[in-house]
Amino acid sequence: MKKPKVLLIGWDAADWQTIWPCIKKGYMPALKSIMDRGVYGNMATLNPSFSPMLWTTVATGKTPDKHGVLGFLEVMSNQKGIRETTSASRKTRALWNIFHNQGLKSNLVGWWPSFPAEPINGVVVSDHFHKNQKSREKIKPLKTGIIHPKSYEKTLENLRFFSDEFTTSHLLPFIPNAKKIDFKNEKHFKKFSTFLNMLSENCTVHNVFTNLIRTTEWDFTAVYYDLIDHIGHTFMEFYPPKMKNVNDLDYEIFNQMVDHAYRFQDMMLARTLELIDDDTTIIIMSDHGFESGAKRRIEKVNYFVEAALDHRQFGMFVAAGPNLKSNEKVFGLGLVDVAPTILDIFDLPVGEDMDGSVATDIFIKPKPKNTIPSWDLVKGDFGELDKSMKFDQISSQEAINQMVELGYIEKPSGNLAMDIKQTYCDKRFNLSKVYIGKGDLLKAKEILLDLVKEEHPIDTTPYYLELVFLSINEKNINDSEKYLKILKKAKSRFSFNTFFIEVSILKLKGEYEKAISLLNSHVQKFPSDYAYYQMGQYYRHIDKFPEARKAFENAIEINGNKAKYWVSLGEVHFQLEEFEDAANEALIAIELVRNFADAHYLLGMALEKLGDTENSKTAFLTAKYLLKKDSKKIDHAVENIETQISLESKQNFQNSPTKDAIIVVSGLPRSGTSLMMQMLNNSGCKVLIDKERIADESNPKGYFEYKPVMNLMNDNSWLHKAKSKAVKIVAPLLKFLDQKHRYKVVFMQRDIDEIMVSQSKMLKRDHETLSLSLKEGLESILSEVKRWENSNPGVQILIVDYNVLIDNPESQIPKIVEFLDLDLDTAKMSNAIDASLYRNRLKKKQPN
Amino acid sequence: MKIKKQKFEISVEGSIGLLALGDVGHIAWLKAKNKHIVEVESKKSKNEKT
Repeated sequence: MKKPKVLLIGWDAADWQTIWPCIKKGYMPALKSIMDRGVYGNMATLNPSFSPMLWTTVATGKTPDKHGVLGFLEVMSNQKGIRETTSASRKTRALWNIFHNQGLKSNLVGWWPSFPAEPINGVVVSDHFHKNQKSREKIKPLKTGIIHPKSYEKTLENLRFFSDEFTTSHLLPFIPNAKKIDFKNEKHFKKFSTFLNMLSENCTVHNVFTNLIRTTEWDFTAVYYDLIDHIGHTFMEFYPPKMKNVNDLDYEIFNQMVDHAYRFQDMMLARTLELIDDDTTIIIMSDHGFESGAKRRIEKVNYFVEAALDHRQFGMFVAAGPNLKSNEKVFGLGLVDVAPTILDIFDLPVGEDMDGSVATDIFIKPKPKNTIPSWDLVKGDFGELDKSMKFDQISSQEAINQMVELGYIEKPSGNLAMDIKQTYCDKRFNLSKVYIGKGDLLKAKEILLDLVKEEHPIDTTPYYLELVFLSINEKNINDSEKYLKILKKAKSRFSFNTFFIEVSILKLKGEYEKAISLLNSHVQKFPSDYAYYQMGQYYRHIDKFPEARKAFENAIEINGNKAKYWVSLGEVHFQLEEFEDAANEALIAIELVRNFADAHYLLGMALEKLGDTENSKTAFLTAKYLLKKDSKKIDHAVENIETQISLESKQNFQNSPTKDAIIVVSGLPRSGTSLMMQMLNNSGCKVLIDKERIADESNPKGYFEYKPVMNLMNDNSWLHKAKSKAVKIVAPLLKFLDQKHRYKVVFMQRDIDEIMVSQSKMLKRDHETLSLSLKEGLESILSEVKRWENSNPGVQILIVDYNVLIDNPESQIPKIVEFLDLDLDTAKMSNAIDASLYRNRLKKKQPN
Repeated sequence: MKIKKQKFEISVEGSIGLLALGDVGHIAWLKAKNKHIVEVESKKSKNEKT
């Protein structure tokens, strides 16, 4: 078997939404040929989607909190200035270090960040090599650390392409209407000269890369191209269809720029394919996508993550090579999975401290799991930088200027102390967002609370914005309102809108109708998928399912690429008992994000209702696998399905999953729950009660209650005591039951008007005048219970009609015994019923 | 490494195809450009002599 060889090509910001139209036009035959013989799919990005952080994640398999690259800029170690982020910021080993240790040769070209070049076995041409090449005449000698080894400097220097060397033959394919450019027009001039810089840098990277893969021996090569990203930031506003605010002339000149950047990138890929053999695994991927549709921004806004506003959550991934599947779409890939997957191709173990895992789905024959605790703990030569070396010169002010131009960073103020402080704060802020992305909200909050202590001129608005979202997430109304108040008064240089914050706080306060009304007036003026999605969630919460369905449908009409919108729509269809629709929507969500546990769970629920038990079980097991943490809810769903399958195949199952379930006697107050408890107690069923509440006129035979139930919303730790016993829990408290247990609920149903009369009597209120709102409230509790049952596979409910039970116990008691699956004394159960205590019977309900 | 001449004409002007070829295309184009410059210079100096 041949030695593995891997070529990793980074196309910053490449996006399927732009690639597919290019493939259809025949602009990307090389990429299409790789897709046909390989795998392709989405690549999920991380937040914040800043390229140096993301590409370092690709190279290490770790999230930025672990690898240490936290932004575009960093403070120099001597604290005398700021500079572009360097490879020295990385505090964990990258793929090329591991390969060096294993005696493999790597080439690295243009990777962001890779300056200073690490002394690995192979060639490193760092990201400082291709930057700012205006003119061959103004060429400066290469600084130390740009290329390793130095012996390659002379050859590679000759491969630089300078922006003043382009001819019309080079440029016309990108700008067929170049003759219409008005060089006196500052915008035209600036865009055109920016383009020349981008193209020259890209050509230099490509020249060096082709030279190295042609002339050196290598096992692994990684190259990074930024043309697609830079073209996107500069020219996406002119991409067809023409947006209404774009000037006609500008559109005419620049509208083909994006397509031709992709086309040119594909031409370079075609050349690359000529230089590698079929035994090389080739991976082409981007770190995030780029908005090319209706959400494109024309005017730059003053926003603290300007560049990230253009980025989309999903980039692209294409790979082909030995042992890779052919022409197959793959799902659920994330940036953290790339390094583990490449290590696996080389039969090297994956670090257990890596955040990603091997993308086994892409392989025909996946290998057995092979891990080590951490590559960082392995002793030996890893071709790393000498930590004592100083690389503190500001390498390129122009590179920083370019980042400002592209909206990646704010323009440094020129005040050194201030710039250092701002850079420090930016890094901390980015770290807090990484923690938010990883779900470690405590760590994120700690950083943010520290950052808001900063004083002018540091603008603390972005920190407060994150804090308010965290507080909303924590359901902390006080803090949410406190931070909102600060934001409303803030004099910020950034643009921000507190509308959705206000809506979310209304939701927190339970003021759903008010929140919906605000959202409704918002979408009349600014229809947005997010606003419709929020509306859908709120409608769903107040049981207005048809309205929720419409809202989710509107969100999907605007943006059909959000898996969570499809899952929400599916969940509403499930509630409306439209199970086929629910299953279809779950499948669409899975198509979009394969590792979306909620979508698999919904699919399982819908298929169960449709009678497809085998596939339902598969869906539940997939959800459980993807969730990567214990979920009793899913366990119960799987157990239910397994029970059903056993029944279908008439097999005996010894261990019924419900044998130690908690028996809950529930219903609205005064619906006969005490009676049912008494019946169960008489019949030999164990009950969990105490003597706190004594019998009275309303319940002469006792209440059969257990005091801790009243505090269930704050403390449900006692529930294990109720296993295999009956406990009385009123309907509004059911939602606080811990999903880790199973429940068999005997739900007492009684005419609502009767309940209200009985409750009023008990509270000694006027029972002749029944409040309409109280009635609606009681009805809403009942529908909430129904929803609770539908969404909790660990719950089985038997509805017992109180009126029928009193009038005809023989028809109800066998059903109760069968449901509870217990050996109970039915005669004693029946004896507990005393029809004389049925005192609030309404005439309309009297049996004939 | 030969350049497929039928596909990429190596001219002083260069082309997007040559750019996509990478190092080989770049060196070929530089050579053609430098040769052209030398020719123009020598033509100039010849003209000046005559």
